[in-house]
Parts: sequence; C-alpha cells; structure tokens
Amino acid sequence: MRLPTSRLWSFGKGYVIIKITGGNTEEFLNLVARFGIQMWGIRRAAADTLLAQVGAGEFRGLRPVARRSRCRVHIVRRRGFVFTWRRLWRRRILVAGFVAIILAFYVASQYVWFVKLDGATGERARAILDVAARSGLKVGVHRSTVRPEVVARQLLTEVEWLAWTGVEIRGTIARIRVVGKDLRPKGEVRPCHLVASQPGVIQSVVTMRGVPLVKSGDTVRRGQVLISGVVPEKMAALAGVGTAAPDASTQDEGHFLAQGGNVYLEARGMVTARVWYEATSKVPLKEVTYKRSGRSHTSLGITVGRVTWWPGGQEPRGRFLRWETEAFDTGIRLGDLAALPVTLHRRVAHELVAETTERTRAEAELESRRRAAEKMRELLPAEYELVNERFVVREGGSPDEVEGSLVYEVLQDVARPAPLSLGEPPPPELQPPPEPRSGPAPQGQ
Amino acid sequence: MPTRTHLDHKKTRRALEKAVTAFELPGETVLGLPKVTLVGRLQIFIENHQGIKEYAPGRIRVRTTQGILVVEGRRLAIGRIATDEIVIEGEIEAVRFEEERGGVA
Repeated sequence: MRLPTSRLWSFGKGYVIIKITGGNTEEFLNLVARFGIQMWGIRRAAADTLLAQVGAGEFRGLRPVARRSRCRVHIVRRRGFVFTWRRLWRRRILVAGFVAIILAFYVASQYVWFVKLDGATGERARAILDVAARSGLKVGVHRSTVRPEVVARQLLTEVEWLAWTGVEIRGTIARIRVVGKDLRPKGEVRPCHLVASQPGVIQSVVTMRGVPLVKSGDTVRRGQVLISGVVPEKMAALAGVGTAAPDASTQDEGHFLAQGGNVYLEARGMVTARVWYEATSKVPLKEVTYKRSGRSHTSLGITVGRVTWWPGGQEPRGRFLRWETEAFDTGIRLGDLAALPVTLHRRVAHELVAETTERTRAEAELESRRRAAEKMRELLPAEYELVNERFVVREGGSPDEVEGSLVYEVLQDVARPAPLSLGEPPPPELQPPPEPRSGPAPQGQ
Repeated sequence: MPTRTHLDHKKTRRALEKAVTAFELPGETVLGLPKVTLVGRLQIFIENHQGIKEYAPGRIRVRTTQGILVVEGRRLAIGRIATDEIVIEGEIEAVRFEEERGGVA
C-alpha cells in the first residue's frame, strides 16, 4: 500500500483545495487515477460537485482531465508553506519591519534604562548613584556587564552610613535599595527622660545615667517621669556625670550638655514595675457564626483604561445567600518596559453558612476565658514575667451570656525614652529649694 | 469469433483460479483480482480496481474484474485515488458485489 504523502510533507510543498463541478465527476476521478495524479480528501459536496485536495504542482495536470470529463475545476483555497511564503514575500517590507521591531525590542531590553534608588534622597542619593555608576551600574550599560553583588559590595565599602544594600536588575530597571545606619556623630547628645510606658507599681529602679525620681513601692501613671534627663548643674553628681562642674571641655564621653544652669543627658536605666492587664469577653449561650462552606465562585474581569468589564457578572448573585470576597488584581506589563493600562481582576466569593453553637454556662465560661486569653496576648509586652493570673465571671449580667474578665499581673520594664529639648526645666522634684533672699544669686554676678 | 475466444478465455480463467487456490498463490497479483481490506468501519482499501462507477455520500460503486463492488455507508469520502488503489473513508455499513447489468458499461 502506498500511503499518501504525509500531511506535513504536502503542507510543505503546498496543496490546493479544488471544486469540481458539472460533467461526469466519476469519470473525472477515474482519469485522475489513470493519469497518475495524486488526489486525496475527495468529498461529495453536492450532487454534481466534488471537493478534493491535490498537490500544488499537480494542479496543471488536471486540465486535460477536466476537458475529457467535461468538468470545471476551480481552486477554492491554497494551503501550505509555499503559498504562505509567497504571500509574505509579496509583503516583505512589512515583514522585515515587523522582524526589525521585535529585534529592536529585544536589543533594547538588554540594556539598563532606569536606575531606581529606594532608601535615600537628595545629596545622599546622588552620592550612592555616583558610586554605583563608578562600579558599572548606570543608565545605558548592557545588562550583562553589571554585577549586582559587586555594586552592592562597593556601595557598602564606599558609603560609610550604609548598613545594607540590595542591587537587582529586573528587565531594564536596576533597583538599588539601601538601609542607612544610625550614624550619630561623636559628641552629639540626644537628651531624654525615661518615662512610664504603663501605669503600675514600681518594684525596682536601676539607674545607669540620670536621676531617679521614683522608688520601689511608688505608684506611677503612664507618661510619668521615672528617671530624669535634666538636672540642675549643682546636682550633676547625682546624675552620675562626674563631680566637676560640667562644661563643654569636660563632657563625659559626650553624654551630656550643659545649658542655662542645667545638665541635659540621655537617661538610661531599668525600671521594673508590677503592671495589671485586663481582657474581657462576652460569650452568648446561643451563638450564630458564619463559616466558609468550601464552595466558592470565581468571577473574572478586565479593566481597560477606565472601563471595567465583568463578562460573567461580578458577584455570585443567586448562587450563595451569604459570602465573603477575596480580590486579586494583576496588571499586565510588557516585560519591564511599560505597564499597559490593562488590569485583570479575579474575585473569589466564598460561600458562608450559618452555624449555631449552643453552650452550657460552664462551656461558655471556658470559651470566655479562651477568648479573653486571646485578647490578652495582644495587650502584653514582648517581655514580661507573669506574677498572678485571675479569671472572674461577672455576676448579674444577662442570663443569655457569660461575661468574663481575665486579669494578669506581670513584672515588666516600664521605662521608655521620651526626648526632651534643651531649655526644658528640671522636674519639680529636682528644682533647688528657693534661695534665701539674703544669699547671693547663683548667676548674673 | 468473439464467442469462441470468450469461451476459451473463460476456460483458461477457471483453470488459473483452480491453480491459484491449489498452490495458495496471491490471487490479486496472478489474476488481477480485487483485494479489499476493511479497517474497522472507518476505512476500506480496494486494490486492483477498474475505476469508480458511482460516487454518492451514501454509496460508492467501484468496478472490478469480479463485478461491481458496492460500499454503502454514511458520509463516504474518497480518501485517495490512484491507478491501482482506492481508499474510501467514512462510516461503512455494507460491502457487497453486484453483477454488472445493462451490458458493458
């Protein structure tokens, strides 16, 4: 059996779909076979019409066949690479332009067109971009010549205030991200008090710098000064900054400043206090909650310019009684070259079903405690020591619910720095007692 | 005389047919008999045909040395046609021979 030339081969060489009408079509086919013309895919389209496929090169040979069988033959369609190629060749300028554009895009995408910097502005940004340019990263360089890790290392060595840098190239955009160190020039003082971050009862005070104003057993309000950062010059010894009257030349490692008869310093220390936290929660005996049923419905939309289109509707109306929606939006980008004004939207609606929970009083109390503990977790500081824990169910509330209150008693450091500006007077506790009238004034002599 | 030769021809033919069966020779090559191969109901290969007599989507009649081979079915198409072979494709329902009527076609 001779198989017909393979489809791929006939596509390569090109073939035509022809229509044979009138005359004796059976005779036409027999003559085709006798003339040794390859013909395939012969279908009867109408009583006197055949459709058939024949190789592009063999179409000419059909002319005598058609004449002898008194049939007419028309080409319906030309198929195959040969014809495609001919069409393209006729429009070769257009095709060449198209290829040139793609090539240009490709070539252009190999270069760095933008250098973006996050984490610095102004003079600092200019300095960083300068260093980056010297280590090979600047607008107009070929992507392959840039070594991000080298640029990042160079930035770290040359720019002293940098703590971290990240350099990456995505498409035609190079992104430099920097994080600065807190580089405080030596001798710069940032005077501050230590104040209470929470109300509580003081347990212990450890002062490293400054003058403590509270002692064990004191009750403090939130914001109350615990260790003062401003002291009258005469009491400077108390603050641990040396006995000599401080002035600019004798500053102790630059930790304090003297101005207007007062010493300003950065108070340091640890103030441990007993602090109480309370969290309450109400739990009804009969409670309706909504949970996801697991069924969901996704709707897709597209925004072009200012018009948004939801082909299948935006919401699952008629499907779910109650639902919550998750939204996902995606912008379309041409590589990294340009963002198209097209956004794709996906909304996933999760069906919610009502779930009724009935509890006994005891169960509700347990639940109340659990929920209160959950809230408590958000109230507590990062570091604490639990001293006492109490859970109380409030009496006399509604008979349909249980209201519980959870109280934690903890030990924690409550000292928090609060900046103070030069010229602020010392706290009243440290004000010198009024001078006797007869005595000489301390200043202005 | 045409009648005589015709009879002679028939005689030799019959002898040949006997020989073909006795020696298990391939009939299609020795006698030019049609060889019909069915591939399921999808395709039918007819070798040693003598031309198409009728082509309609429901019935194709092919001339052979043994009479007319009728292929019946639905949406019949001629997959390929060459001097020695015809391939018919479609939903084949029946294949049978019928005597050539009405004298020489």
